[in-house]
Amino acid sequence: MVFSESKLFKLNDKQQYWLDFLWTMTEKEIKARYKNAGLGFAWMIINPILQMFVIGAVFQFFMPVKTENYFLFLFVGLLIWNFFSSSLNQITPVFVHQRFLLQKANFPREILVLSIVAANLFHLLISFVLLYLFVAVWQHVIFINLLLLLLAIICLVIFTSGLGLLVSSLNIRFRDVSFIMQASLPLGFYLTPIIYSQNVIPEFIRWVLFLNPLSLVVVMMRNIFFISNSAPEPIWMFSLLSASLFFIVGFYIFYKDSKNFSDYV
Amino acid sequence: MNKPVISLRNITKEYVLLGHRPTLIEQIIGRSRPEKLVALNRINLDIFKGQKVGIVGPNGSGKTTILKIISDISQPTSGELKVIGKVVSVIDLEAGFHPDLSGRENIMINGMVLGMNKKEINAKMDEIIGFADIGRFIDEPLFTYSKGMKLRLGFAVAINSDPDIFLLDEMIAVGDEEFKIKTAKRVDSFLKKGKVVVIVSHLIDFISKSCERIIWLENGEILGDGGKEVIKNYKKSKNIS
Repeated sequence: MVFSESKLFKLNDKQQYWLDFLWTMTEKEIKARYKNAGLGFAWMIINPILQMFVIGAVFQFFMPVKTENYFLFLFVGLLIWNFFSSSLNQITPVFVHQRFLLQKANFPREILVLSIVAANLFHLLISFVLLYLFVAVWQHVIFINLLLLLLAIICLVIFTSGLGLLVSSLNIRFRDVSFIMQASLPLGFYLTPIIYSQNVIPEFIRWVLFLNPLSLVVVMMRNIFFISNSAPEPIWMFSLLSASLFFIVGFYIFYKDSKNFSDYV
Repeated sequence: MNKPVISLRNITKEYVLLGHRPTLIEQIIGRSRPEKLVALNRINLDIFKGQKVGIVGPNGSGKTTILKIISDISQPTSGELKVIGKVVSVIDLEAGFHPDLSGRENIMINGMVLGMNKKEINAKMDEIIGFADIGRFIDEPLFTYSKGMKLRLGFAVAINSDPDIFLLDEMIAVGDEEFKIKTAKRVDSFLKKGKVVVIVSHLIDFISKSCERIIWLENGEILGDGGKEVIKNYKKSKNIS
């Protein structure tokens, strides 16, 4: 991939190096994950399908929640949740796992975090396209508002990267961070409208749900398959703001500490 | 001798000792009590173009720490550091290799970690493969490599990354005799171009043979700096004949 030929962005050597490095490490993440796996890429779609059937069965048949097309509804949420949780599970220990690399040279440390996000985003997009094609066969899908979809993805990437930088930087110094993450991730699952619709939350308190940027992403992605309110609501601003805030705090903590990473491991 | 290429002024490095990594909870409720270890104590050192410097000293004397400071992997607690040119340090040769990826793919990753860009690496790919001398294994995954092959590959990437300052840590025993000779030749051609090589090692005889300037480091302080006589003094103090 050659970025420098693009006329929109004139990159200097350092930026070019940074992008190439990110690209190479992302490629490594993707290649390494599937090199020895029998079904290869199929795993990234099999996993959420299994989850969908288990959770879907429980809520569809044993609980009095009735949502139209519940399995599809659930599946979209699960794809996004899997992106988020598997990114964070990989990112949290990344600096500790790569301690030998940190001792070797002074390369841009953030690449280790961002390449994991990029590799997972690649998987998410592929599963999403597959899902879209699959659904389009038997249901009339309107591709509403590409711009809003892009906004949702940016929100997802910023939030995940910011939180990832924060958690991985803390984890290299404090050994209980990974336990805190393990305990709080399942909580996040229920704080995101994955198994339920955001409409079950009373309107006056719904903005709290959208402090979690993932809520916005799930809702926006669903709007592609369920023709509902696709216009931007002011409530969504909470998600964008909080995602940006996470990124700023995460990047700040990382930036302040990254020069000393090699002393901690 | 003109301006130094590497210049350390009053460099001090302290490490915080805790016995283990602290916990975030302890930090928040303020229960951690750090203890300090001084790894380098007010070091002053100038290294000039074309010098081949050997650093000797017992374990824990601060040898590796000084390399990490020069290569910007670790930050000094206080003091001033000036380095002119590109530094490549060979502290851990195998670091950053992925066992499932091929030799070629690993060269790309390792080269980028050392600061080379994609173009440079592609241009030097054949030279690196030739220098590492691992033949048809280059397209095989790295877990099929022998220990020696991995070390040679790591070394080939480092030495071809075109450094102005080359830092070697305990690195002398890489590969067989043939590879050692090849390496020595390469290092000599570096020096002729006015570049700097700094070697850290326990093998005092090797240092004595191959370096013209020798620095004796102990307890984070420089106890000797000069020619072969430094080795003599060092041996005397340690009772090694």
